[in-house]
Amino acid sequence: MSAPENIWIVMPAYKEAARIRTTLAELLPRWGNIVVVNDGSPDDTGAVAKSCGVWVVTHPINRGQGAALQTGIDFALQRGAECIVTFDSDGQHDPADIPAMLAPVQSGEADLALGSRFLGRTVGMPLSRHIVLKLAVLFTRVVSRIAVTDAHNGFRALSRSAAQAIRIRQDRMAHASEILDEIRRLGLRFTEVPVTIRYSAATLEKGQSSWNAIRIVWQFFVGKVVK
Amino acid sequence: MNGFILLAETSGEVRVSAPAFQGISIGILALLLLRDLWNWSRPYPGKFVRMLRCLVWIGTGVAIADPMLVQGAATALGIGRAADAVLYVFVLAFLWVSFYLYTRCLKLEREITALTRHVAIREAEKGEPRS
Repeated sequence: MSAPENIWIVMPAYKEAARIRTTLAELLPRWGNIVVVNDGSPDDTGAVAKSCGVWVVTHPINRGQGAALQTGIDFALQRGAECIVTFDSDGQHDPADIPAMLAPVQSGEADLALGSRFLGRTVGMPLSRHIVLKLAVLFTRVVSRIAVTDAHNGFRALSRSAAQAIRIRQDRMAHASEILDEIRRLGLRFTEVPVTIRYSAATLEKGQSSWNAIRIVWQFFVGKVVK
Repeated sequence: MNGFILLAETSGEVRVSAPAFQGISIGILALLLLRDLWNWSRPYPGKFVRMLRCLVWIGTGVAIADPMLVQGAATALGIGRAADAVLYVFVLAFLWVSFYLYTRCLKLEREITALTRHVAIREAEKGEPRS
């Protein structure tokens, strides 16, 4: 399962025209199968991604990061992916971490590898974000009853069977908690891998406000109730 | 004489109105009840919601026809005033309706996402690298 053609990188993207070319340039020398899910961006995200020679799947309207991830995973599975890596399009993730993420999945040691910035390192993370993420870890341990050190990291590697088993129904940001919930519910084997997360002024400006955590908790609980 | 309205009492003359409001309201509620009973076997919105609606029509009709019943219920529940009991019921109903509409909205959003995904994957494009 080590053949790169069976490995797909899924990148949800919304209003990333300014950054996606750099992110793709870092990935493309090594990883050929990349699908960018342009989530109804009003800017040139789709056109820029297409000009880099990758697959582009375009949501005609914005549906949220969770919805975009599931679309990308569905597309990769249709193209025969054996391993899927979810990767942020804003350059926060380091492509050098991908082999370490894939290793436990490819060896069959785990169904999923979850990136952890708290086992690895962060560059430029504000204190408020650090506190909110730690609270999210606590929340996940209490509500989802799963022991992770980083609950909202978009850097993951999934085996084909895990990607087929997990269905993301939370369209927006609560999908990260939902995935952890699904891992426990389905009894999937997971391991955490140290990764680097790079914050910049641009990504912090565009990213989630720390106060958004309250909305994410609300979406998560309502999503659990509504089947 | 429950449900009838005392209009005026002057010089010992008591006039009682014909229960026009009650008559019209109960007539409308009866039509709504009949409509739900007539459509009972239709799949949407489901038997549970339809039954709840029928209970609301019947309960409202009974409360309008005999306001003293609401007063009796308020007293029995320790609320005291019928108006307060009606207000509390409205608050609870508002919360239930709000949550119901929110969940309906969420389900519709999921359907929109599924449709969007279907279209997006069908129209996926592979770009050509520009040097």
